[in-house]
Amino acid sequence: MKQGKLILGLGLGLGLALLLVIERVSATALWLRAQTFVTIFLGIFVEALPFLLAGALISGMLSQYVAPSWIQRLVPRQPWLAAIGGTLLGLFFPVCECGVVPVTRRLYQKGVPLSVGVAFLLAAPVINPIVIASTYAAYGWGPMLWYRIGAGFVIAAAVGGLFHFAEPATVLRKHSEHHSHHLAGFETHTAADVKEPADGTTPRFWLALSTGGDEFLEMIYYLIVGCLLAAGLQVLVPQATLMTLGTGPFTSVLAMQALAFVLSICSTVDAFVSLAFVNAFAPGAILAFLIFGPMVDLKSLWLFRQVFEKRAVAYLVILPFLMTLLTALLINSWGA
Amino acid sequence: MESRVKSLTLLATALFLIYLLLTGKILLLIAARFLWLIWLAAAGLVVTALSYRTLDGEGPHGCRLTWSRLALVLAPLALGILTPAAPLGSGALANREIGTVFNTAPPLGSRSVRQATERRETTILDWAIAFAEAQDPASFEGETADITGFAYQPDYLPQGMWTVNRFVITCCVADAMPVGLVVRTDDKAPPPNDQWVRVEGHFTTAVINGERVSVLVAETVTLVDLPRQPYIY
Repeated sequence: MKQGKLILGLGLGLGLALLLVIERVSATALWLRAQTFVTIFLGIFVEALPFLLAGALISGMLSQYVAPSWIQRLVPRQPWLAAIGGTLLGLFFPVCECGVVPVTRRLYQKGVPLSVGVAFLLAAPVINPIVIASTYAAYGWGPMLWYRIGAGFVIAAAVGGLFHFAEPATVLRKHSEHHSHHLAGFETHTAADVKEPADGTTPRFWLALSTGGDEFLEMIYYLIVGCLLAAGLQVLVPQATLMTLGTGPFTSVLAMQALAFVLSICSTVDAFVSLAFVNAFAPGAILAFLIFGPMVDLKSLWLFRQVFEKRAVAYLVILPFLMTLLTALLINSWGA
Repeated sequence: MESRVKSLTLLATALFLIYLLLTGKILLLIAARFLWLIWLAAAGLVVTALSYRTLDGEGPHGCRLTWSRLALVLAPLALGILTPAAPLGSGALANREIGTVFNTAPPLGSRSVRQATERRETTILDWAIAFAEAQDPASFEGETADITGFAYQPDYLPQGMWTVNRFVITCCVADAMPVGLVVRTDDKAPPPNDQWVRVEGHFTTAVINGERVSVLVAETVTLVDLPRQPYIY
């Protein structure tokens, strides 16, 4: 962790130095950028807060009202079917990429298999009801809506299915300070059904809320780090440069994936944002923006670290990245 | 003890949101259509904070709230309250010049966005969309316009010309796209960057960077205060 902070600090310092040297930014311009940084940081942070809280509270409710045994009965035994089950769960849960992380973590504590959690984590921000509604509002019943739902579904299920082959102990982060049953695979998880209130007098509802509150306070730390990074990159990386890279059918997809990653926009509204690029970019590139961005972005990456080990987080970035790229290229080549 | 600290932290976050809402600073950060969401979050945080009162001592679960974590969690609150509220301006323009390609691609010209946006006045965005749809800048020759935005002097414009700009946001400032119009004031000095101005005048055309674009010839330029809603939705 210390090493990570050091690298982060060095990276930011280096970025700043580069800016000063290469762009010969004056003190006033630097001040203006600092102001822009604060405004963008607060903007992303404030906009993400309600969604993180919603996710944390849903997680709190799950902790008190849903017994692991129910989930274990519901989840299919066959790994690929289980992954599809996780994806379907994403279709109905109205959580975006901030809220989905605490819910996923809770699901793991309740003993869902790896594949289900990963499929849910990736699917919910792309194909939940709110996202479908906003994509419909932006694109109508056009192919973009169906591509987004279809490809989002397939990619989430595929990555989830692949995680079935991983060892839970190497994927899920251990929380030593609490939740001794945190590392939950089917096999290891037997006890700890719905918890009874500790002192027997606290109503379950309040207990659920305070569990959600705890979850929120734990996640908000990572949200802040993610927002700082996203705002920093927004100020440092000229978007025009990103755009000029993206003219070809291949590079345009990469450019839009990079943009989605850096911008870290909430998935419930990214369809509207993508409209700004419709004229300049191939449909595949727009689709890549709409699928890759919600699944993985700079802000949610830090939240992922609350649930997963570093290597697993790397896979959670690389696999959706490659699959989205492939899908987008296919669509671009069909369109051509 | 720890339960109380957590409860107070949640309460502080709720109060921070309410502060942003009541002072109007929130409109410098996110689109007005999401204000209800922030009210809801503030209410949710208060109720969540109160839930800790029902617990005895540490409570049955534990997220450790160390001092360094607490400091980081409270940092955005301090930042939001202590720093002067500043909307996106020229500092962000330098980095986001996608939408400032005047008269070419409409930055947010899609029908659905326009339907979703309520506007009473004709904004820079309306003109940018109209220019993009019409293709021919000459067709606007002589039309009058009355627009408000912040001034910016890009390097590529000749003496006597500057731009008046607004940011268009969908959700929050992270997705802001600039739109701008070129203003011609000839011999009068341009307003300083980031100064909010109201420009009344008529359109003509000029060749900038080898491309013929519409230019607003200013008849009056009035310095105005920052509007309550600096962004166009």
